[in-house]
Amino acid sequence: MAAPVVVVAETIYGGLTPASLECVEEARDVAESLATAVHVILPGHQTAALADELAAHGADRVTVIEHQALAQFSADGWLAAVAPVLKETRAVFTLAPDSGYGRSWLPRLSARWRIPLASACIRVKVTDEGYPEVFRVSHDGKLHERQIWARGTAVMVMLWPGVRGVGPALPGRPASVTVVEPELDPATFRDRTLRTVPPDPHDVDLTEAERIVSGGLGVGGPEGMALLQQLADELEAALGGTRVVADRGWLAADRFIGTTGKIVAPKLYLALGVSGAGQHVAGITGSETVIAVNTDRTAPLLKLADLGVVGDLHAVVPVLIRKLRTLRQAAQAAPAVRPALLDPVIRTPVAAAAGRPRDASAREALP
Amino acid sequence: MRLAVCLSLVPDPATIDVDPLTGEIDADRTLYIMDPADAAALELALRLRGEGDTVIALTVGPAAAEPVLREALAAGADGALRLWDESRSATKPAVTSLLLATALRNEGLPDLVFCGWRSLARGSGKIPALLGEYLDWPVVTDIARLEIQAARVHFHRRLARGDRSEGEVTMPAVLAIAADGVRLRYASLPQLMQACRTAIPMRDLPDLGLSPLDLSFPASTVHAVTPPRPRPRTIFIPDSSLSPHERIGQILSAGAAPKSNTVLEGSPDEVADAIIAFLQARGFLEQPA
Ligand SMILES: Cc1cc2nc3c(=O)[nH]c(=O)nc-3n(C[C@H](O)[C@H](O)[C@H](O)COP(=O)(O)OP(=O)(O)OC[C@H]3O[C@@H](n4cnc5c(N)ncnc54)[C@H](O)[C@@H]3O)c2cc1C
Repeated sequence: MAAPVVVVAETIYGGLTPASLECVEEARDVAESLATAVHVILPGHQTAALADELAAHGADRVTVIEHQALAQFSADGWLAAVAPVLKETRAVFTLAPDSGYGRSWLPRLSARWRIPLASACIRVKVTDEGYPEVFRVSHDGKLHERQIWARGTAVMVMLWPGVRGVGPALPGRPASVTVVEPELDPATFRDRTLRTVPPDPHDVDLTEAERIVSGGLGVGGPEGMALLQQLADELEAALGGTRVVADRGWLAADRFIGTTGKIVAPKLYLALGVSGAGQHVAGITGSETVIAVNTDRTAPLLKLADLGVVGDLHAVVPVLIRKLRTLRQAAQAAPAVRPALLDPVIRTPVAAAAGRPRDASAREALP
Repeated sequence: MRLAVCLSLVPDPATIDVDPLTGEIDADRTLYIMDPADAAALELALRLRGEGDTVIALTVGPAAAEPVLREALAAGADGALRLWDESRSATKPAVTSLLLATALRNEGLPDLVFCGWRSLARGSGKIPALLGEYLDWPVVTDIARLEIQAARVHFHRRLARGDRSEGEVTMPAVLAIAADGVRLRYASLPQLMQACRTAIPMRDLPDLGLSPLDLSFPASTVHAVTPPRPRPRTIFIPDSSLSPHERIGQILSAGAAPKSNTVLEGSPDEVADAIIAFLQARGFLEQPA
């Protein structure tokens, strides 16, 4: 059988990381052009149930590496567990997310096996002539490099998260699943992870925040910002704003957004009383979904937003907060069905965590 | 404790001017700086240095890279060492790491090696792990914070999108630092002048006991360098039949295009409902049962 395209997937809080699914879908495209299979390696503890999701995004084969010592990441552990399985696949391409975890072990295998490894890649393909080809970012995103290798060269690729995006799943797509249980001695792991903690929206750096509630001069003063903070808490979002708001001292100086402040790329950007000046907008173009509330129907940000609301924030926000609270309480009364938790973890419910698939419960490894 | 810090001199991205056609950098406009991630690594090493500890700065590069070491000396590093293979004009991560590992061995191994998590130049992010491989040491990447406790390094590691993990690693180890807020301390004028006068030792291949053959790695070709061209992103579009409100149905049908733009007006109650339905449709809030 033709050599497969292999993905080494990562999990967090018992679920697959979006970056891993991006790798699987990218691998699917490459495998199709080579008429070969996508083989996903999934190291962890009690992660076998995730194989269906891998299949739904394009895996033909899944090898689950199961061991209690893999419940939390260890570079030494991953090297010991993954290397033998990966070697046996004879992969033409090996894809992994360009994550801190991946960067701590995959380069070591590339050196050991003398297989080239390209990191910070945004696209992988095979040229019409059959050469492995990647596009990668360099110089802080100022340049893209196209790199190619001789035909048939096995190549390792680390894919920059968030560039490809994850497409719709095809539930029921079949994959053959193998579970291997290697012998591992965690006492030999020189590095280990003790626990994983979710971001605290109050101090997460805005550049890393998944959701941002942002205030402009329209908030009218510190009380308006305090109202927005309540809305942000309700949505588990970080609070940001425009420069003029920070200049007036209504917002911490490291939390304004724009060309002279933070360049942000959240999934949700909810702007209230923000006009949408060029210097501000330049800092939010990476946002996936933008909602804007403004009294002025000609405000530039209303035109850029996915959802624009012409209205007075001081009237809308209190109603919105009240409705979100009611929803949260209803959800707590009748908890939504969540997938079974797959990590051996203790969950400490946090009040604000309800209503969000990846909740903010503190999760710690059992001793 | 002996600490080593690997530094690189990189083009300041703010001064990089890319020709939109050729993708070439206008070299005349480019200014070079100490890589900010490396500078944070150096600062953390200097903060960790206690009585009797030393911090040594290393760089791989031609004589033109010396300023990065002088800056480290001015900031308080106890020594500096430059490594270079005169037959090259540039190095790959594997070569850089091998030169660093060999020099560290020859000079007496430190207890910890600090690197930046990823450089602002080609930015492979591979050097810490490769260095760990050549030294046969453990490696921890993306460290935001660290502390030494009982001969182990206790660290906070940066994960995607604000998540963090905490863990520990035995010493010796290679530590790749991603401490965004950490800036290198300012050097005083006397320190700067002193650092400018210091002669910086250099080791080339024969000094390191390496042959050019040791540095031959599988070839890859950088075929083209271009200005960034964003690739289209796959986005998940929720099924509009899930949507409770007709209004939102409209938004969703427009959502089939890459960017919808719906502008609503109404009573606070109506628009609050619309915002909530929109958040539900986009998966930011759970769908009502
Ligand atoms: C060199 C330079 C660099 C700059 N860099 C930045 C930067 O990095 N980031 C940045 O943000 N700015 C920057 N600015 C400033 C920028 O040009 C704008 O002045 C600023 O972004 C406007 O902020 P704003 O939207 O809060 O205020 P305004 O432009 O005053 O907008 C306030 C908006 O609120 C609306 N509004 C008022 N009352 C209400 C209400 N009750 N309900 C709803 N809406 C209401 C108004 O209709 C208006 O649209 C820079 C400027 C310069 C010259």
